[in-house]
Amino acid sequence: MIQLHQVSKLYGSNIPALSDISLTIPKGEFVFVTGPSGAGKTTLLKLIFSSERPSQGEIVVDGVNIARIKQSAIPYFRRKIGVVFQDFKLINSKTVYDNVAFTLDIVGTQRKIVKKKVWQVLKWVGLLPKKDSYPPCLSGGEQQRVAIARAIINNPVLLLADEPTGNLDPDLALEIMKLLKAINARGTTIVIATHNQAMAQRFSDNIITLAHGQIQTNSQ
Amino acid sequence: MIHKILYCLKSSFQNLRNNLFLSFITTSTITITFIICLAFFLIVLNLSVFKENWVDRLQIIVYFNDSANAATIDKTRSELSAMVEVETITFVSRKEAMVLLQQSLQGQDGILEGLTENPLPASLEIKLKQEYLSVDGVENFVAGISGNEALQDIEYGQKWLQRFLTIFEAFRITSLSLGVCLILFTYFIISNTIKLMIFSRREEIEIMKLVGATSLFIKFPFWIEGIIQGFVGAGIALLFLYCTVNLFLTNHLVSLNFFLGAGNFIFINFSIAGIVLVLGALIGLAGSLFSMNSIDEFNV
Repeated sequence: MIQLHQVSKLYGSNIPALSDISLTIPKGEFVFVTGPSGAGKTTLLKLIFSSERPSQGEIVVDGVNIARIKQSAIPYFRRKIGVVFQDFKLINSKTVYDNVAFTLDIVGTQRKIVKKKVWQVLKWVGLLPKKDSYPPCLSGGEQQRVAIARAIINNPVLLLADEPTGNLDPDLALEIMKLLKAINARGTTIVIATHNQAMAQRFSDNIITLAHGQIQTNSQ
Repeated sequence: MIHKILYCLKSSFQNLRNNLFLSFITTSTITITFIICLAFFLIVLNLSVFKENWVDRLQIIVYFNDSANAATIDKTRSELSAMVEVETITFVSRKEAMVLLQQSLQGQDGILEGLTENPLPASLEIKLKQEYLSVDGVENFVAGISGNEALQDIEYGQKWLQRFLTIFEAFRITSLSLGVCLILFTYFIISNTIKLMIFSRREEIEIMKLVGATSLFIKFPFWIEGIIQGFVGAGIALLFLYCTVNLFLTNHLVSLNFFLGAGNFIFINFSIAGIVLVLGALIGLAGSLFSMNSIDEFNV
């Protein structure tokens, strides 16, 4: 699913965020990327998501070499990937329903199908009763579930989560991790960046530890 | 495709509604700009029509010297009648001129009581053919006959005409320059408003990029917003001017026009109104098109 070959990323002229990273994540895996702040976890996810270009090396995601992808092809590539962030990144002026439907609207899905899919996914994450609420009226856990619903509504082959539980208390964090596990059980490859080593060890054996932009351990 | 377009249109109207104050300020500014431009255009349009009407009715009066006898007058009349520019020529004798003056001074005949002899000269009233009824045509004709020694004076309202043409030209140049300046001003206003709207929706645009929205899909609603603002601004300006001119016409312009003999005040017709609306929409579109770089700067 994901292959990185000797990938490096420099910020500015000479500040390395990642150095010589090579790894393979097979399809259907549930992988944690851990490490302290500044280790390069977010940069790694950004490279996989094509938000940043590598300074060196090759990255292949679902058969697409994103180190050489055209700028105009990035939106189409991103439709195959779901992303979840620590700060949820929801549109506060849109309802829960619209936040989730938005992903389907941009690809021109018919209204009837949008409605059906949004209802299904909101029911699955347990937020159907709150479909007309606005994000600021929801708890952190609920907002993250909306973000997850938005990320999975297109049935992505890959779900990337950057500190998805970073803003949540332990009970809510557990709830979100269970949800991500359930998504993985449906066949979606999941890569989670977290500094919470204990959480990673509790939910997966596949843990990649980064330090100073390099892979320290890879338990895959 | 149709779903995407409908979504973008819906999104445009939602954005305008969500940024109501900003939209209001922008549209008001566009309206004011268009009102100023169109007011100048209306003045130039009406002055131009007035000029045409006035020239159409233009008559040249040539006055004979006191020494000109009947034979000289007949000879001059024949020479002028033979000129290609002349349509009609009417002789007014000194006696007839006095009768006309007395008629025009009805009730105030006392003014003429002290006169021992008729001071009025004989004259010819010349009407030119339609094809020569232009400022240049009249001036060329006058230049051609001004060397005639039998003539004392030639009158065709030249001073008035010169003043009028100077004012007309000043208005024309001012309105053209003002029009260009104000169109640029409108463009910058729309461009900056769209930039502000883009900035206020920065997070939303970033999220759109995250979930795979294409650049065109993100930009399209902003183009529509620019078009709507330009179109509505121009439309309100037209409506405002129409109401103002109509109200003003009933009270003041009718008497002014009657005094000047200018005919009815002319308002912008449907085709020009259409052009104004399209121009408003195009300026709006241009303003938004050139603010789009800021969207590409959001690196997600």
